[in-house]
Amino acid sequence: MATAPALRLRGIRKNYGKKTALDGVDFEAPHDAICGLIGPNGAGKTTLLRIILDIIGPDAGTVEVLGTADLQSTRLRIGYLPEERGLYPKMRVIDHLVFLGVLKGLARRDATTRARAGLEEVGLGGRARDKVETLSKGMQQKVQLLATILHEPELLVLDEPFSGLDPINVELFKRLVLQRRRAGATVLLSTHLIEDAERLCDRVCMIAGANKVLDGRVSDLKAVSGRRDLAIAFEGSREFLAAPGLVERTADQGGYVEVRLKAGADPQDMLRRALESGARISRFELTEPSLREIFMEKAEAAGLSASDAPRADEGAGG
Amino acid sequence: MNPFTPNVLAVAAREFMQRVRTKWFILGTIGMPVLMVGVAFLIVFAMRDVEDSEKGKTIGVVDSDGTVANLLVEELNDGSVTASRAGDLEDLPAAAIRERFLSTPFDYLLILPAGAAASARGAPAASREETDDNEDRVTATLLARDKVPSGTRRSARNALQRALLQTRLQAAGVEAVDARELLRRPRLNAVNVTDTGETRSQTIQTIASMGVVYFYFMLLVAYGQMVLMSTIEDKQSNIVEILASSLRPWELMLGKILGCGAMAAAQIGIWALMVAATAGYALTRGGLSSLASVAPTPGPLAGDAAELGGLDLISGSISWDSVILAVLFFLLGYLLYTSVFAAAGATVSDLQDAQQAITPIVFVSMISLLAGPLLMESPNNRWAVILSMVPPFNAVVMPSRLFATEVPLWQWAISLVLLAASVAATVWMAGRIYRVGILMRGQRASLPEIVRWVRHG
Repeated sequence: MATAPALRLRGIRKNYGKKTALDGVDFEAPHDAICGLIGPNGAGKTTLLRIILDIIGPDAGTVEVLGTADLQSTRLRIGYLPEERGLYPKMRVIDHLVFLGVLKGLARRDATTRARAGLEEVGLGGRARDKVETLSKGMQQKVQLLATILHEPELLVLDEPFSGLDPINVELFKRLVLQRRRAGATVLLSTHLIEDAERLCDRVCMIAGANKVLDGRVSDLKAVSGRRDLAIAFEGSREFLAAPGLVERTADQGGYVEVRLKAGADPQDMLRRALESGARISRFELTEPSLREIFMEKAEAAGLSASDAPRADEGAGG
Repeated sequence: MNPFTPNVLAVAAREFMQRVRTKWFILGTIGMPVLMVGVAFLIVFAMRDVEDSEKGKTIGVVDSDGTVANLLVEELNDGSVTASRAGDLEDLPAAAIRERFLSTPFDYLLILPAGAAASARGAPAASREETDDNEDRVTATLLARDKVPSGTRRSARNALQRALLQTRLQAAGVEAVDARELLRRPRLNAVNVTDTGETRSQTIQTIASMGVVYFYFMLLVAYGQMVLMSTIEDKQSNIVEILASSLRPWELMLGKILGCGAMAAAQIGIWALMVAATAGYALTRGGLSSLASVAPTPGPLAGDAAELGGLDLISGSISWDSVILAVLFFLLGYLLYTSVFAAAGATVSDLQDAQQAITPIVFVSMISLLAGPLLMESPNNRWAVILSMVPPFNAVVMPSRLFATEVPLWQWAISLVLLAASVAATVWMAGRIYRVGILMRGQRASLPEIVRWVRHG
């Protein structure tokens, strides 16, 4: 792409007292993409987001957002949904949206029109004049997301956007985020749930222990990792699986066997071997490695302890 | 740099609207003065009730000499109690009288010492001009069944004084004097005469200068706390992070200070109107003296007002220059106090910590409150002058002095410059503390931490 990337960070370093939150991180995100920032809690994701948002400054490194290093000017073009969400409980919903819209550079009248349309769209048209505190938690989440996208930002920064959401709101959030992206916005999404990132993101950047450990297009990452995982279901002798030159390891999954081929081995050879052994093959499939597997590999290679690995459990409230 | 950015105005407008819309604003603005006046009246009526209940109580006079008793009974009967001689007790020793008291029909028993009326007691009258501290004063005893209300005690003492005076005068050959008339204290009006020949009532000046000390202190601390609460509210409702991504922390701080300030202005404006309306009514309808007459003793203001003629007196005693300067000092003081409170609010995350954080601030500002009596006594005392020059006290003490006395130009000018400089420094520092502090969660920031924020931002 000829245009500058939506985000370009070079050598970002940030210390809090003696603790190093980010240790020389480079990061780039192209326009028009949904980029996932993944990593365990406390890895430095929120710090990175805050630097991009110009809430805090880095100790070292350069930051370019939407093609400029003048972060003050880009603030109005960014929509931010922080992990710790909150609204003024005593404010009327419409007033609140207008207030946040005005802070993002909208004219009062314009903000009012957009807020009304937005509330209508998420089904809260009738609650515009109610106080925020009278809304249910799910409704407040909708208002929060509306506030994030009211000024039609070119860059959406979402910190753990799905944590604490009910399933209906998760779908609504995804719909609205994808809608912004179709309109040309870049989305930066931070999450500690790898599966969320895998489902939604075009690119991922993984941070662990203040360093970047993985970065790139999801499909590339998977391709680099190589297609050498097979799922084979069959009837008959499993003798053909014992091929030291071809197979690295197998794992019986009940209905089928997971087979990892050695690097450079051809899956065709495996298929030929299976047919020759006389087994009846009902499934022979090349599977993609999950991001989680890739991460585990990288983590092992980087010598990170298992506790640094992102968890897939529902620590979503986190 | 223009401090009134659209963001500052948006925050200020939100702050103002949210505060003015609550019922607490209406209650606080209308209710507070009404409540204060109400409490004042309640106390007055309660005191009158005490007086009423004393009416018709009986008091027995025990005078072993019998020289003062009849006059004393007469004088006592002029008041609200019913007095008579307790003749059957007169020959008993003091201890026996005390024993018998409860079985007598009297509510009180006034026992005179032997020789109370002897005229040649102690030193000659001329050197006994102020005998209040003198050892050889006549000491009478008042026995009572319950706590003696101060009014009853005072009127008994006054009656005794008059009776003694008359007895002695009669003994000296002076007949038929009105002791009450003789003992009435003259009034003394202190009036300042300035270089320009204007005269000013010191009573009005004292009231104005004391009022300013307490009112300024109260308002500065109250509005300071409002800004502090507002800051904590942002942290507690988790909105601060969104705000921080849209505006500069100093914009948030300044917006809050201005928004609360606008509310304060509205509130003070309403109070001023209420006071002006009441005073105008009272002075034009002569209502002030009737208001004052409700109180047990007429206030000095009522006396002066009656003599010198109401509004003219107030406007003659307080110059417009000092009013304008006092407002200026208040505005600067408001910026100073609220920015300190805002910074304090940014260093904490909950109310308990906030309480601890503001204690030293309130404590220090109390010093200007304690200066109140000093100002009343002598507004040009060197300590008063120093306090009126040094921030943060000068924001409160200088306006007070301006009303109390003629402050030389160099004094208020230096004070104003110092205050303005300290406002600039404080707002700058508070801004830096605010910047880091508002994003901080959990524990309260320690002092070294705060110092680091200020130094490195």
